[in-house]
Amino acid sequence: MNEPDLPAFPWGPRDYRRFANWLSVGIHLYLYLGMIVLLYLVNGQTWILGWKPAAITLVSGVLLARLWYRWMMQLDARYGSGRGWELWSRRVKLPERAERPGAGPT
Amino acid sequence: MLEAVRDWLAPGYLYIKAVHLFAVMAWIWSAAAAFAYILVPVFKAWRRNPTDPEVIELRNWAIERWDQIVDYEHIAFPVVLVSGPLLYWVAGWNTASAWLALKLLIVVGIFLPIEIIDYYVSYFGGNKRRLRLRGDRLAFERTVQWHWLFLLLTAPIIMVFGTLVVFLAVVKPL
Repeated sequence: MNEPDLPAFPWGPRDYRRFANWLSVGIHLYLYLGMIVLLYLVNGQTWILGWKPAAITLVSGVLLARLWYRWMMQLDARYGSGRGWELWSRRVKLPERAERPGAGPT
Repeated sequence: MLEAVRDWLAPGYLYIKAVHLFAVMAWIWSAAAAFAYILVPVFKAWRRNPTDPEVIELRNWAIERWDQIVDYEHIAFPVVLVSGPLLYWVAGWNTASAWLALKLLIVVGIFLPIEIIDYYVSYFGGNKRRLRLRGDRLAFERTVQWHWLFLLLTAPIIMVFGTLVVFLAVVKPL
């Protein structure tokens, strides 16, 4: 399974930006509308309709989108030079799970 | 009948809560160190050296182990899903408490879909060991890549909302 003709990882920074922005918008819309349903429609609490919850949702949405994108870029080695790590070629044995009689692969 | 069961369970509320907390901790943290210090360095090495056969070999081994590392998390999550509603019912909670409403929305709308996909990529169609044994190189590679995208997308969300859910449950701020 080591041949280099395998497909390359197809996602990159532009996708990460798009995912982070749209998913942050979606999650915050869902949480804000969900809170309106549960607190206002079900329990008659009007404070959830005020400007503070809306403002907190907006700020949180922007922060999460930014944080999310930066986090993905960090995890995916898009930031930094990688000089903190070195690759050493070694001959090793990797432990694999043994087949148990009567049990399929899990 | 249900009232009788609830009355019977009521004195055990704190015991159910203890089980719930243990399960939540296991769910949030059981795979965190392996993710941060094994999976991420290996996958970063792969992302910087995408065609290096030795790096790919290590990546394949690590992601196959990852399918097992999440076992604890995936045992804990159903316990959370059972003990949480049990606490809600036994204590007579309702969604008038904003902290609880927000917590429920996060668990049901964010964590549950993530975990359903996670079960699939770890044990069912996305199980790497099964794909490797089947000898389908292309399916294996596509699944590994898709799994990495899934982890890139969900790790930040689990950290942010996992922390928020614990904060809401403990502090009950609203």
